[in-house]
Amino acid sequence: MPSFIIRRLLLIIPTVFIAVSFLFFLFYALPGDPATLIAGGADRNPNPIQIQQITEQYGLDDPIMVQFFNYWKDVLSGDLGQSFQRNQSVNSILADKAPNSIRLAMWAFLIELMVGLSVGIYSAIRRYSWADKLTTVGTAAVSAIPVFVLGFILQYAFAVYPNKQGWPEWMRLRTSGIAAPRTEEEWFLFFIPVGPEQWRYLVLPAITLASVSTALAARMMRGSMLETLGADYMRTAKAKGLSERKIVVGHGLRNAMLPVVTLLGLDLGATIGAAVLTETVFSWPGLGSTIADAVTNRDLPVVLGLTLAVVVVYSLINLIVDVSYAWFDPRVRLGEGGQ
Amino acid sequence: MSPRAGSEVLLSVKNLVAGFDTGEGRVRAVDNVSFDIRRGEVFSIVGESGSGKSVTAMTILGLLPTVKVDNGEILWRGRDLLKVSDAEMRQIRGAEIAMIFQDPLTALNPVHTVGRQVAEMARIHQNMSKKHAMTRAIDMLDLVGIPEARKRASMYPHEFSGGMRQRAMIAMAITCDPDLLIADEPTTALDVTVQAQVLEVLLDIKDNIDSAIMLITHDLGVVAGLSDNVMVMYAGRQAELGTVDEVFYETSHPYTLGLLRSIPDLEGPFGQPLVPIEGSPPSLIDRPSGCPFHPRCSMARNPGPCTTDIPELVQIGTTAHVSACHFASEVSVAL
Amino acid sequence: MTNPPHVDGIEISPTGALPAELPHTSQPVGLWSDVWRRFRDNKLAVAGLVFVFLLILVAIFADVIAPYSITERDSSQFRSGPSSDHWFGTDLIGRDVFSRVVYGSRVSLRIGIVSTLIAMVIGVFLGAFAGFVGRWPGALVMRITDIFLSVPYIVLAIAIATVFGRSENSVIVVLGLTGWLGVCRIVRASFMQLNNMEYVEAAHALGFRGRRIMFRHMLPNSLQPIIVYGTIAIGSAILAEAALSFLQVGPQDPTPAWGLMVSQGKGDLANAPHLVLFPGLAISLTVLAFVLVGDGLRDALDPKLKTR
Repeated sequence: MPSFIIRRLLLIIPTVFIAVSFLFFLFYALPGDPATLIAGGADRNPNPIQIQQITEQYGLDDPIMVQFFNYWKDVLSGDLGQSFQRNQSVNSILADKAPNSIRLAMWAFLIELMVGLSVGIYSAIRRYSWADKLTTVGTAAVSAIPVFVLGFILQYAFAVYPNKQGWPEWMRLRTSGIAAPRTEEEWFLFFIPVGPEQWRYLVLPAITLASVSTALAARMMRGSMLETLGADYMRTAKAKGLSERKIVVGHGLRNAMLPVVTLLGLDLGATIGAAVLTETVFSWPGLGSTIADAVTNRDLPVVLGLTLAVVVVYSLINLIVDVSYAWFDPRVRLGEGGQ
Repeated sequence: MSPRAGSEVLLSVKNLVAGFDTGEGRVRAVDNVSFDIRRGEVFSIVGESGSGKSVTAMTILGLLPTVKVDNGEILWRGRDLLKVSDAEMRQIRGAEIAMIFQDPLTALNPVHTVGRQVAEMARIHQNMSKKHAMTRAIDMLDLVGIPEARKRASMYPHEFSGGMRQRAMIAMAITCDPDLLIADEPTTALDVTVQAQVLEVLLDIKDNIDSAIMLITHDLGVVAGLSDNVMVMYAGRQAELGTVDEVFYETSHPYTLGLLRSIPDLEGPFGQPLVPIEGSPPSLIDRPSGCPFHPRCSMARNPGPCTTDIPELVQIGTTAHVSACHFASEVSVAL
Repeated sequence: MTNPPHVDGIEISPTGALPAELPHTSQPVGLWSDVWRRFRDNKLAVAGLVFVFLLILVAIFADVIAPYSITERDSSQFRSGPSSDHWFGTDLIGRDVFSRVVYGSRVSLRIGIVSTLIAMVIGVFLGAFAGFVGRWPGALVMRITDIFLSVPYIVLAIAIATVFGRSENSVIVVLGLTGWLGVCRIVRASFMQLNNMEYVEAAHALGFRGRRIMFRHMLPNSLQPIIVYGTIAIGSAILAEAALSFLQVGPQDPTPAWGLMVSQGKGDLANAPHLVLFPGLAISLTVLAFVLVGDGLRDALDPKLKTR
């Protein structure tokens, strides 16, 4: 087991390297000149001398391999570079925005766990009931709605419309951003919002972000549970005289959870995509909206830096998922033996 | 090996008819089956895959949610299992009637230790504490011949060999001293050498705790070695029922005859061709008219009752030996 | 071995164990007429198929169906809601939303289908290769897919789209280049399973060349998961295209890409919700239809009978 973990940790390095380098070279294939962009964009007719200054300052006219080398040299010493667009180091952007994204993601994950899994389990136990049919269609429907559309629908229903109609304050939810001032005191235990105002800002984006993965989790859980319910050892448990609850919870759940655990981790990729969209829709100051912004503005260091961070985190989470899978399933832990 | 005279009847199945719906129609898996099992008896049900033997067994314990019983009674110590409440049934399962299944690898929960699964029986039926239940579990594992039972109890099913696993299942089944042990093809998934061992264990157990055994199998050799009484099933119906001696030596049904004939004779001259039963088992939705066996029967008379009338069980001689064939009396002559 | 009770070649489980909802089985598909019959019984799947069919018709006959062109402006009505003149209302500069949604179907279908085809071709080839050959080439392919998978898809997509310029074609390229990962995994798993089948061993023993075995013998048996995946993939490609258009890295104005329309309408949610609603509805229904068809196909292609 320890060797497994070490091997996976080591694997992260080439993964990160390849992925980030790929993006690096990709951006260099870009038409257009970052220096011009930094100076304000081609249509503003920036001063050529200014452009030259910027080019020198950021080393943009060095041969590509030199830039590449320099970039990685800096990264290894902890410096992710300076944003082209803003007057801020990438590190500080990360520090600013990351916590917000993490908070949103945590809440979305909680919703996914509680709602998704229980819906899945329930509809599997009560197969063919109307609740089950509703779940099947409902999850398909929810995953078909684009995240951003869902975001707007929720915004409209809970914030814009009540606003227009003049409903009382307490019934409305907030639509954008996090209430200023954005200080850390606004959060308790890092992720619990303090005060009703904060909650109002959090609810809609969290639900929106959770939607895709909750629907998927519900389906996976249902499928896995159905498969488990049909397993031979469930029949054995019944033959032993166990009650339905003991059979499902004691014998079925743990087996049913196995494939779902893997999914919960892999889901992260889709969640990141959804996060970018959700943050854009709700103007939530997190990494997602920042990356989207940065890409369209050719803010290379920000894009590379954030991507690097995300890739590392994603790989780590996958590793955690795999390890916990082994904890759940003794067959994996001990290997197939005893024959 | 015949049942002790006067021993009480524990299980009495009367005219059981059960089936389930498929997309194509209704399948009658068990068609008018009746038999009794007495205390301490070994009762075998023999048949091909699809003959209805497994469904019969599972229906006794109510393990098949999709199977509906259309008719009949299943009397366990006088109570009709088809009419008892769910709570009562749960009491009976495991504690009075226990079952061991064909494939121990899939029948045991892969994420629980063997010891825990065996102990679970004691905990739910006998209300034992965790510690006591585990002690009892280890005793049971020991009883079925698993070496180093204490160590083994904390291991997982996949760490056991096939024979060990089946023994563990037997241990689990006998934990609460059931009066009837239903064994659904307990040796089918095992190697031949291991089969013999497991059957030994079953026999020992039977004597040890004085329980009856309902043994479901397609292997006549297993039947011969162990059973007191045997019932041959075909296409969901009973073909023949009697003591082992009666069925094997006074065979009264062409199907049983065919089965016995198809066993290769190790003593006979070399180069003898095998004698299979021609044809294949019928579709249970689209049954042949009359006797279900007639398309494959070497003794079928056409024209005659075989193609038109379903044969009822007729008594052979003066004992409880019965057979469902229009020409039952002529079969032994053919042997 | 004697045969278990059977109906139309489908094995009945006498033990009443509920059949598993597995992702796929590597079994031969069975008669197409049976598949169609099972599909037909699934009302949702049929509904989905009807919708897809209608959508294709709408796309083909857009010129006839749409009352206005996509650039035509009605200068008297800006941002107005649905009316008898403009069924879906008008947008920020007075264009008819209904017509634009109708023409938008062409964009979505084109992007969705073409990119999925590209992704499937790449994925099936690579997956078949990886699964069939195994060992280090196979492992290498999987490593590559793992690396690609660990990069947040949307960053990759936005980046590539920005590189290739903001157009329909670049979106197709992006989705094609990122979409093959999933099907590659499935095909590889399927082929690895099939490798152990006896008829593959037999083919090897008979001296058939690898390529022949792969494509004439193994691929037909892997069809079921491929077909199912492909159908659902079109749905997710359309969803992805909508997201990219929304982020404005796809086709540009005046192309009526549905996602772009949502993005253009988002600024005035309070007064003109219809600008977000109708394109959003179009996207949702389209994706849902494809997913339902894909699910229906999966159920219909599964040779194991489900007791209803």
